[in-house]
Amino acid sequence: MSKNVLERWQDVFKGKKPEKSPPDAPQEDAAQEKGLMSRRRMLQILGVQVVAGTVAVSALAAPKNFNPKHYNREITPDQLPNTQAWLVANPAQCVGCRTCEIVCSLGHDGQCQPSLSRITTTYDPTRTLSRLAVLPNVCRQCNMADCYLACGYDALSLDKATGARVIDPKKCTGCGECLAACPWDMIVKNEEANVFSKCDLCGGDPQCVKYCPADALSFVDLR
Amino acid sequence: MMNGWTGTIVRVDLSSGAITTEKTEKYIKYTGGIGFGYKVVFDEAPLAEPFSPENRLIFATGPMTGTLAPSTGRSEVIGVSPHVYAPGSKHPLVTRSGFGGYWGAELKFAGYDALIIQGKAPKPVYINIHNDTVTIEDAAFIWGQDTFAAQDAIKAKQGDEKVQIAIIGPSGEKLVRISPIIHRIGNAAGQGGFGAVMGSKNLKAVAVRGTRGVPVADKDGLVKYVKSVREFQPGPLGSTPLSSGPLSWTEKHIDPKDINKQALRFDQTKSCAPWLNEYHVKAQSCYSCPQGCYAYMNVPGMGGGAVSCTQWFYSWLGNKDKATFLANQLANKLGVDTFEMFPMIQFVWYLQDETVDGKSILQHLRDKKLVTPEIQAGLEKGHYPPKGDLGAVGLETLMNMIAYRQGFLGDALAEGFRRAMDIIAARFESLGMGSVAKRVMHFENMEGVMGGVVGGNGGWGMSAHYDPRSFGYYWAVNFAMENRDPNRHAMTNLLEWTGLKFEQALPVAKTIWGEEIAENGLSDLYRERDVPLTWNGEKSAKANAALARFIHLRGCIKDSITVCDWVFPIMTSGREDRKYTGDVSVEFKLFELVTGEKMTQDKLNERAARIWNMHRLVTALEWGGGKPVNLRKEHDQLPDHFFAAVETRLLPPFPPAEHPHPPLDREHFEATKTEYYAYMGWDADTGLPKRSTLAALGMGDVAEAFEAKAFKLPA
Repeated sequence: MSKNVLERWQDVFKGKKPEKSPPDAPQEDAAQEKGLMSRRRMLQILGVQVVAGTVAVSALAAPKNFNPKHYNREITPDQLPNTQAWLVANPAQCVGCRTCEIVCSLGHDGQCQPSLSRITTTYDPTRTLSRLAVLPNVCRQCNMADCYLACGYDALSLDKATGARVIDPKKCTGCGECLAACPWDMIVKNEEANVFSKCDLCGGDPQCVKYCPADALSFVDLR
Repeated sequence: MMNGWTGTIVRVDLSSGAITTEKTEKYIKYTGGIGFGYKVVFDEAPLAEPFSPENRLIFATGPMTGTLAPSTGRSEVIGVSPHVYAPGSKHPLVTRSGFGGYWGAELKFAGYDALIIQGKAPKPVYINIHNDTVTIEDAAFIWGQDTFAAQDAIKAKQGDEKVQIAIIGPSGEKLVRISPIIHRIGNAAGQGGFGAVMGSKNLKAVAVRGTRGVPVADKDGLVKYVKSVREFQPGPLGSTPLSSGPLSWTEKHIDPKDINKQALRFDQTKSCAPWLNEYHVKAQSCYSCPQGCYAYMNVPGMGGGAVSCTQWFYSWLGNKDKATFLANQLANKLGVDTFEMFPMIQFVWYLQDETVDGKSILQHLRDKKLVTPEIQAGLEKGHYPPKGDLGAVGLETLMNMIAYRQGFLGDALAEGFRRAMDIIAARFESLGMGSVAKRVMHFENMEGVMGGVVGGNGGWGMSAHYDPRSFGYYWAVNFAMENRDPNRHAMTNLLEWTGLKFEQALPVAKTIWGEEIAENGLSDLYRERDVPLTWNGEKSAKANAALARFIHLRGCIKDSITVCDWVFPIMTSGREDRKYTGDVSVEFKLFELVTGEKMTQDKLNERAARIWNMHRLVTALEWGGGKPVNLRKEHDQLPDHFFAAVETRLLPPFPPAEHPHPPLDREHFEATKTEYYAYMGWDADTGLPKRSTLAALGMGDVAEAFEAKAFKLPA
């Protein structure tokens, strides 16, 4: 989890408004209010899914490069079916071996390259996180997924098997709206190919779950 | 690009500030890790003094580093060592150390297989590597800081939490010869004193960040094979170095076939310092390792830390309170080799227990104003009960006086326990106190606190791993051939830590070495403490030589490809259906899957033999300074106390230690050496590699270079 995400959360905890509120963002706009409501709902649901112990968060902050033109694109929840499967991480069990990052990049990118992994780990052993000393970060496959809503190029689609929100590298133009929109910082940029990618749940057989030696990852499958 | 490699080595000359790159191919014959390191030292500066700018400090990875191959997150550190104590040698000796964590993988991701450091910076600096950008940065803001604070400061300065840093504490800056290189909060290149080598170069740290990848030849094959290894691989070895009973993995708690949970089978705090269990956070692993062999702890007022193996030293020496964790924190923050603390603390006890003319040696030091009253009081508080309390005060006094070289005694102890003996004895000598000096030197025969010589004086001025009197002559040869405490765990992976009973382990050994070697080399492992090793003449000599060769070749393989010494070779399994047999071919199969180079055990052994011969040649150069040497007679020896009856008086009565086994027999030791030289293709009279051996290994050019620098090798 990147530093700026942590900072954004801290601001939220303190009740501060996000620093980087774009000038053209209408503060009390009805559409945004609707967006925020749905995200709040989403987080309530996620609160059940994500095991106790993850950093409590209310991602009320607007995306970094919030752009109402791209945001939502008038898609309503009934047009965007919920995902049917998730990754769930138990930070209390993670041992920080980064096997998840290795198999993810090896499977998707053909190399052992954690910087491209769609699942990441955060370390904070010397400070306050206690049992979260190492914390695996997974894509939540949000219901009203901001990445999906943000893409103006139809590069995001729903995986037929799991409902996972996936990025088609052929359609991705590298604009970065999905990365900016994701409140969890789970979109990954491949600098070399200039495309973005995200967790696709490996089509229903997530490799990270399969190879985690610490039982820290599980696959919740409602299909 | 070569699979498993980035193809590039970066070299930083701190004197001139020049940063250059060279092709990895140049060294590829020597596989990686220590192979690269020894070759660089041989080519460039074998006779350098450890603290001279000419001394090369090499950080090297192997083709496995950064890949999915399990337990491969190791980086090797090579250079002429300030820690190795070899008074018979004309020049200080080359040696190796290594550390786990994420640093090595990150170096590969930045695009480098190794980093060669030479020269000396005019002022404190750190090296910053970020992909293609390699810079030398001012380190004034972290000079003097402990390793944790300084790592945080570098991360904050660079605004990047994911920077991986290898760093020294205040001890390294002060050229303390037992100063490790620390990475994160507990990964350490401990023995060898390479932290002090960094200090001598005014180099505080090497920070690395990389975003590239490591290509592998057969990615599907690798994933599949790693899964199959996980199905029989035992859980964390070394998690209970003091355990004598079955470990948690041996069919006790969890199905060994269940790869998920492998890392969680073990809570090291529980077995090493149960009274600290409430502060245990969780088990932790290095990069790409399923073992979880170290414990994250968080103790109020002492912060978070990672503890493993000898980092529990204070509890092993008998402490029973939070000072056990403080000892780990101080060692990692200030930079003190934890394994050296075993003989060191016993030496400080010894200075208090031994009396000459009615006064302890420590009191004699005080009377000559060589120790302040404060330090004397602190050290006395650290004596084992009932004299002292073996608590935090004694510990802090000792660690600080070593790391900051406080006073005469601190300055002496900072040289390591063996050099400290010489320094203190010489001072008493110069004061006309010969009898006190003699008593100080008596510590030479120190036994360890963990049974036999373990943690005592094993030679090369270092605390020893395992006792040849218990294990056998193969272990004695292992001690004699290395330039340091050999610190190889091949044999403990068979028996000592696996939880297998001897009757279960011997059949496993037979599958690895055959009946003849297993019976004659290993049948003595479990016997009463008063029973000497059995000797079957030539059979025993051959069996022990074969085992020593196995340990050395496997050691060179581990430290070059690079895989963890605690895990490989995977000799045993927790599975009864496999008759507890592991698979010792995993290394070469992983090597083939990662690099794409068709591999067999014999071919990998040949690669290892090149490295071991290279080590031998550098050692021969250093020992004689280029003049002809007889390594067999001069170098390949053990301290005398292995061959003499044990003086139990030297064993501290606290904590109770097992009495060592009866002494070794010199004739048997020499007979094993003779067979060993034959196996290695070394000359039996001098122990030098033969020209023909080097030629057969494709090292004809090296033989020529050696002879140009030094003397004619035996044909």
